[in-house]
Amino acid sequence: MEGEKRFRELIDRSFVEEVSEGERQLIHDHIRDCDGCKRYVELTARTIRGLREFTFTSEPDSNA
Amino acid sequence: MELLADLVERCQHRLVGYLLYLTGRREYAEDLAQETWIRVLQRGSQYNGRQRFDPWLFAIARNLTIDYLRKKRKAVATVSLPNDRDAMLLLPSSDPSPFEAAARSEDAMRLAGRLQILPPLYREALLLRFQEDLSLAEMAQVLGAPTTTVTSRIYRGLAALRSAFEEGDSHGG
Repeated sequence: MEGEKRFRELIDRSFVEEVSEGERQLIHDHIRDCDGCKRYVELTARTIRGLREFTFTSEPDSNA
Repeated sequence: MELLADLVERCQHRLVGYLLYLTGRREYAEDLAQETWIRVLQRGSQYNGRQRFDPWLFAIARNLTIDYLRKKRKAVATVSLPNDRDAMLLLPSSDPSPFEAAARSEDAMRLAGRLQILPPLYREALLLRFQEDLSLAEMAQVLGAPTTTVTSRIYRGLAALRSAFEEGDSHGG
């Protein structure tokens, strides 16, 4: 469990900060065998993609 | 003035988006955007042209927002105010969600409800990182906070939004 927590922190970091190529490979290898962390990666990517799918305009009515 | 007009055209919708994330209210965002441009005009000489304009613009908008909400809160409350300027961003909103109006996909729509109730400090961090693509150093400049605080807000915001999909999917959504 502790290992999984550390992996999820590393996954978070890979989306937000710089991670090394070695750390990226570590995540890649881990999610091949861990469905929970694989889903965590997918949900995080989906959340960030969703955040990019908002379009604000300066005129409220132009969105309607 | 021509330069300012160009900047307004290029940045206005993003500025309004940032202010919506910060305040959760369309009417505040519109007013504060205007105030921000006036301040840009007044303080243009202070801009260091070697750095990107956007973080400087957002920092001005943020300070104006905090002062604006502080005055608003003073007008409706007699309780003593917290010293922390960021606490001014915690005023609750009861207005219809501006996030639903801005959602451009099914996933964004699912996030919209969560965004409305997410603490503004987390909302702000998510917007600056994932919509504005600011670096962590630039975010630290806008927020006036260390990068460790910046990343912590991003992670907490992501965790809150991610659960929207987890719960939705487990209910067959």
